[in-house]
Amino acid sequence: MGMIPYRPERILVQEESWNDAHARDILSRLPGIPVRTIQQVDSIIPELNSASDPHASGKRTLILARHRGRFMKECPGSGAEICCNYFVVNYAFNCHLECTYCILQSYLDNPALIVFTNLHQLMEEIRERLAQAPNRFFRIGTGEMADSLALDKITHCSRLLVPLFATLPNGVLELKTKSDEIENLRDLDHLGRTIVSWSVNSKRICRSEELKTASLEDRLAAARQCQEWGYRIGFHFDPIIDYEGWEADYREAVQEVFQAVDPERIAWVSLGALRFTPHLKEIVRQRFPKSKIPYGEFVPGHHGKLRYFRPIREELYSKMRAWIHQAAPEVFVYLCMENRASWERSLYTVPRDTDHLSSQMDSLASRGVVSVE
Amino acid sequence: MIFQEVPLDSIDFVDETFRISEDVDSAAMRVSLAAIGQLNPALLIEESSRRIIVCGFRRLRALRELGRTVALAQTRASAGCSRLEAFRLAIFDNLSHREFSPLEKARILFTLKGVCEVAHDTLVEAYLPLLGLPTHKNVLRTYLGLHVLDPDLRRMFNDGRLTLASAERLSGSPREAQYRFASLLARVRLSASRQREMLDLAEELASITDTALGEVFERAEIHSILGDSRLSPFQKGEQIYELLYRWRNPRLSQAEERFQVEKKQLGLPGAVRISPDPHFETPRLRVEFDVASAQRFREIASALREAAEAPALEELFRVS
Repeated sequence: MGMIPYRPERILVQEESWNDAHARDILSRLPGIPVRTIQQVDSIIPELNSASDPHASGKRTLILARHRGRFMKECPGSGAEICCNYFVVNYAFNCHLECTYCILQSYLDNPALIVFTNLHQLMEEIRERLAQAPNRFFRIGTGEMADSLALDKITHCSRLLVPLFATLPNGVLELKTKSDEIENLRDLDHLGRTIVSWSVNSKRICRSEELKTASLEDRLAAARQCQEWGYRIGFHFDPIIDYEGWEADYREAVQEVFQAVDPERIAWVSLGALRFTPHLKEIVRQRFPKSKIPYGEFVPGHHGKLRYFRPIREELYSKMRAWIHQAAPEVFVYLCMENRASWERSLYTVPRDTDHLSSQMDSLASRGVVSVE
Repeated sequence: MIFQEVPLDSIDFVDETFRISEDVDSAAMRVSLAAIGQLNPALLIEESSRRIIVCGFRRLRALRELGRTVALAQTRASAGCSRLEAFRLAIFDNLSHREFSPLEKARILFTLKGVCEVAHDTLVEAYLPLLGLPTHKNVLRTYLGLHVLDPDLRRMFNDGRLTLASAERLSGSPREAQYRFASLLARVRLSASRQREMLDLAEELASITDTALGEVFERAEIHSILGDSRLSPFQKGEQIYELLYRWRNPRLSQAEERFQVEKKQLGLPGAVRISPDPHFETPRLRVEFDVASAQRFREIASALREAAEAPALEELFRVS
């Protein structure tokens, strides 16, 4: 089953966004939906939060607004003991895909779905930041505060960002998604500087916890298509969830992933076990009372997040690594936001430090790029 | 204002619509009335052929129990006094000479909402401060929940054995769970934090096993602890908490137990403390000792040297 597409019930346009072509383009792709102008984005928060389930109803309001401040920042994982030195750029806040475990439920003050209209500034900022550090390589993703492609039919962001990165000699773009929304990528001249990645999970978790996403089969069909269009692809088994029967389910998922695509043209595969904030755990219990994922054997870890007791994580990671390397011995596997002990005991290899992992990944990212001069 | 002597058999004692007091049977009131008679009149509402008590539940009951046939009362016609007006008289009459207990506040708010049909916002903005409570909708929810709690739990709350937070939480649980927890709490002592932790664990275990919350407290192991006459109520509470913790965190508690066993195997003196990284997140161990003399230092160093050769040391790191 494909992703359930996003269609808002109303659109609120911040007054100054009417000056942005991106806002007008988005509106032209959403005919027949009531549009209202607002002065301040925050002014709408009390109204949205007064609903019985603001997280569900808030997303039915699409806000088109300008982003204040910088678009590009270091990935929040950068505080971890070993991190990959990733950068994130946010073209939107929030996501309609309704994954039960989604951190955005506890992170965002505004429950509406906000798409930023000053994309020209976002692009300029990326261009300038990369030009200021020509000897550094940047891996930049748009999937932190929103799914990179789930809204692409409406925003066409990929059609701006992919060509931009094709002109940048020291950076690659990673589009991270749980959708099958790839049509806009079809004829873009990406020059190998865009990696399209899928967050993947066992079929059972895709069905029960990732409610409006594309099925695993459809994500893999989209991945295969992207490979055919010359893109390198990535996979993120994240969050891996510990449940009775996980081994058979995840083993099957790993097999399906590597049967569906050419392992030679996979840039990387990451593993990350489920993590929660205590606040998010409560939200999940209230919003998705049937979900069992809040009841894993969690302990408080980095930044106060709850994560599985380390031996459980190590078991998840080491078995996943073994299955992945059985299917694709050469593929690069790394852990997201994990400590040295977990690397040692589950992947049997530890980057010396963050810089070491970062340079390994930079070199993987640069492997398929066409030189830009 | 007219006071009159009213026959007690014309009063509907069953109708407790306006009752505020938790306990309407008062031995002290009977003693007082027997000694000096009724000084303060009750307040009644006259409704067709019966009279409903607004103020004076304890006085009127005590008079009846003393065998009196009449009571001094002020009577108002129901046509000229709405239920809200009548209940406000009862509230202010009580407020003039005493403080309400939390259960009485709960009863007042419940009556204002359910009987007098006072709007939610008015309850929050006008009546919570009148009762000395913070003006917040969550406070109102807590107190409304308190009123409908299982009677045994209400009693335990009144005795200070059940916290307000636990009472609120249990008020949202099915009756069966309230009853089961009341039965448990009747036989154990739990601090405020242990009550919270135990309810957290029990709720999660119920969700994990798809069973009702009350069933968690019905497991044989819990009954066995409750029935152990060698244990004090505090010890029973602790042991039941530990049991729930082990059920909820099987692998972590197994590691914790194994760590303690291996640590003991090292045979180190009590002055040496060995603790793992919190939740065994890394394999690091912390080893600490305090000494007051060079001799003691040498003894501990020697014990540590011996421990360094013990197979249990490797195990200690494997656990963590």
